[in-house]
Formats: sequence, C-alpha cells, structure tokens
Amino acid sequence: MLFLEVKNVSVKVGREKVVDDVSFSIKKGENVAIIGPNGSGKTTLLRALLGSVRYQGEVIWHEKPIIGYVPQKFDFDKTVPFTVEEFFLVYSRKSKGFWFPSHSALKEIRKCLSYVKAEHLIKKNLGEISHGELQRVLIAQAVFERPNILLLDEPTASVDVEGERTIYYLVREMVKDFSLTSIIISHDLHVVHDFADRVICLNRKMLCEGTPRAVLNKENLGELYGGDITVYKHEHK
Amino acid sequence: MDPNLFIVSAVIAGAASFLGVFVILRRLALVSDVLSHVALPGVALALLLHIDPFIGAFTALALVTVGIFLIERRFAISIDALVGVAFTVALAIGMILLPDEHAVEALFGDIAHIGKSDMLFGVILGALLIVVTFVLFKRFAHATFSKELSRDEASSDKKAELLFLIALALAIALGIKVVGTLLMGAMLILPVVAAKNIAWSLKSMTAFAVVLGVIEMVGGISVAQTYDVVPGAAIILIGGGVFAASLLFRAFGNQNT
Repeated sequence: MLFLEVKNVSVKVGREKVVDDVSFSIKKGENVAIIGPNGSGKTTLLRALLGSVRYQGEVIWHEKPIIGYVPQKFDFDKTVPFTVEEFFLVYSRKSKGFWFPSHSALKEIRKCLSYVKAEHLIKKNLGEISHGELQRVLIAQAVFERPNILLLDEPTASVDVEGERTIYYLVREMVKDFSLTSIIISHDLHVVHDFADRVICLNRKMLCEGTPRAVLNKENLGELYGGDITVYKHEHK
Repeated sequence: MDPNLFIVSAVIAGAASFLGVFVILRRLALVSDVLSHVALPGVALALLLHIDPFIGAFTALALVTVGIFLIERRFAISIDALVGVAFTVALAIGMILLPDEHAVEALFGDIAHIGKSDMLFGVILGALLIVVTFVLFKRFAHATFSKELSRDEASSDKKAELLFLIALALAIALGIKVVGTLLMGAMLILPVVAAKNIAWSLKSMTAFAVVLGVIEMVGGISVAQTYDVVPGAAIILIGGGVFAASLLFRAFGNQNT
C-alpha cells in the first residue's frame, strides 16, 4: 500500500535549485534511506516533506501523516534549566498541558524514554546530558505523538561510533515494534546497508533508487560522491 | 506601605518577571533594557499632545518591537544591531521633544504620586499580562528553544513571537507610571537571572523569578519610603544583591555535588 508519493518536487533557495525534480514513492512500513554528499539537498527534501519549506511539485500522503521528526542538531542555550520532561511537554503538539501535566502524560513520557533506554534522564536538564543521550531523548520525543512515519536527519551526526550503533539499533527495534514507515538521512553507508529496505541517492537530482544491494555499487557511489568508493559487505546471520 | 501601592507594585513586578523569563531565554537581556528607552519619544509626544503617556509609550514600543521583528526576518539583520539603531534614534527624538522635568519622571517613574485610576489600570493590565503569559507559556517556550524542531508549527511560532513582543511592549510601558522605563528593563532581567542560578527546571526558574521580582519591587519601595531614597534605585540595588546571593548559592551548591 502506498504511503507517500513525491512527484517532481523542486525546492529553490534564492535562485538556486537545491532539490531538482525529485520523484519517488514509499510504501507503508518501508524503511527508506536518503544518501548523498554534503549540500546535496537531503535535509531540504526532508523539510519539504515536513511542510516547512516551499516547494514546487506534489507531495501526496495516502494516509494522514503523523510525523515524528529527529533533527540533525538541536541547538539551545545549555545554561537554561530545561528538563527532559519539560522538553516533551513543550514540544508535544497535542496539548498535554505544561504547568500541570496529567499522570497519563507523564507515564507516556517515561514509556517513550524507556524505548531508548533513557528513563533515568527524565528529571535531568537537557544541558547536562551527553550528545548521545540528547539524541536518544530526541528520538523518544519523536515517537511521543505516536507517529506513523519517522523522519530522521542524520540522527547520529554528533555521536561517537559506539553511540551511533546503539542509536541505530534502538531505532530499528522501534520501527519494527511500531511497524512504522521511516525515512532516514545518513552518511554511513554501512548503516544504510543494514537498515534500509530501499535507498535513494540524491545530489540535487535523484541519481539512483533501489534496494541497498542493487544501488550501493561502485558506479552509483562514484557518480554520487565522486572518486572511488565501495561498501564492504559483511553478511549478517 | 499603602496597601494599594503594595498590590499594584506586586502585580507589575510579577508580570515583568514572568515575561522576563523569555527575555532571558531568548538572550535578549540587554535588548530589553535598551528597548525600555524607546518609550521616551512616545512619552514626549503624548505629553505634547496631552494624551496619557502610557499610550504614547506603548505605541512607540509596539511600533519598534514589531518593526524590528519584521525587518529582522526580511533583511536578516541581527536583532541587537536593529535595537541599537532604534534606541539611539528614539533617544535623539526624545531629547528634542521632551521637556526636562517630565524626562526625569518618565525615566524613573513617580511612585509617590501615582493616582487611584493609574493604580487600577496598572493592576488590571498587569494581571492580564500574567494570565496571558501563563496560558501561552508553552507556545512561547516552543518558539524559543529551537528552530530545528519547529516544523509545521512554524507559522504558529511566528504568531507566538509577535504576541510575546506585544506583551513585552505592554509590560515596559506599564512600568512608566510606577517605576519608570529605565527600571522596567531591570525588572525584566534581574529577578530572572537570579532565579536561573538557583532553579533546577524551567518551571522552578519561572516560579523563583516571579517571587523574587515581587520581593525586590515591594522591598525596594519599602526601603525607599523608609530611608527617603529613589524607589527605582532601591529596587535595582536589592535586585543586584539578590543576584549576587544567587551566585553564591550556585557556587556553594556546585561544591556539594
């Protein structure tokens, strides 16, 4: 069943086309990875799906999307006391109240945090926790609204390798458990190989599309990133 | 202290420090202080035209804050640069228009001679600002923390920002009658920075800010009446003292953890 259709979408920033005539579709439950070099329009494409930038073309949702979004970075004043719990309450769209949250809302927050093994952080300040912990909190917050699609924009950009593996593992479990549809932007081709059902290669225009096995080959990657890039496949049991 | 004066000063302090939470969160501390001077030409014009100085002050502040909001978005000029321009221009206009004796009153307020109707007006508007900030707190916070997480709510964030600026203009204008525009800038900042030092969450920071704001204001006015000094100065000095104490508390607290 189709979930999302993107038809001839282009985005202009100033006079420059940063996304140029991109079309693809996503089925319900599919996990799609978008890869491409820096400045190739990946984040802009995601923002077009979120509806936060203007675009030409069509974005058709076949089911009302409830989007859980994990941004690349979350910049904020780290000196301000702002707890993880308050962060959930402020950034939840359903009005759950800020001053006097209900017991069920608090229980729900704990539950979301438990998916990413971060329950213990609930009363901590966002400024006190590590990058990896913050990223896990952002992921937990993204599923707080019970989304049917998860958009992840390089969720591990600021995390060390160990933290990165943990985060992808947790995301994969979550996507499976909730049978979510997901779109992930990643630099890490190994992760893409393990994680995605389908890969979209973007460098302003769409250069290739298909299963990781079919797409992640020397020619495509050479065209996408320039130079000589290969992915060393290691089979999983 | 006259109970009416107590009530009006407490309500205005509460409103200012409540809104001040977002002034500090947005790192607009100096901006808001400078902004409070923008009221001057408004007051001057109002005095020349024989209308209520509050209306003049609010009009000038609202025009400048909303103008800055629009120009910042349209031309991507930083907010402190814009406020710097607006402030100096406003001060120049104020100096030309404003007769001296009124300038002092507008800058420092005249709490000793505040009339009954002004008091009532102050209490009503102050209470209204408190209620609005309480109800819109989540939306104000949403628009404050991170641009990355504002997605389809982006337009509602813009509205929240605009509402916040208008509330800020009202709060500063409100200070004119009681404590003067100069002090109003301080009332937005001092209690909040002290609260930030001792708080463990956004909620506790807000609660401390409001309580400290009221204590500083009422305490300052009492001290001023007892020792016959300028109320504005007494309030600011108490606020500065409380801030110093909060720093000590933080230093001491950090040693323990």
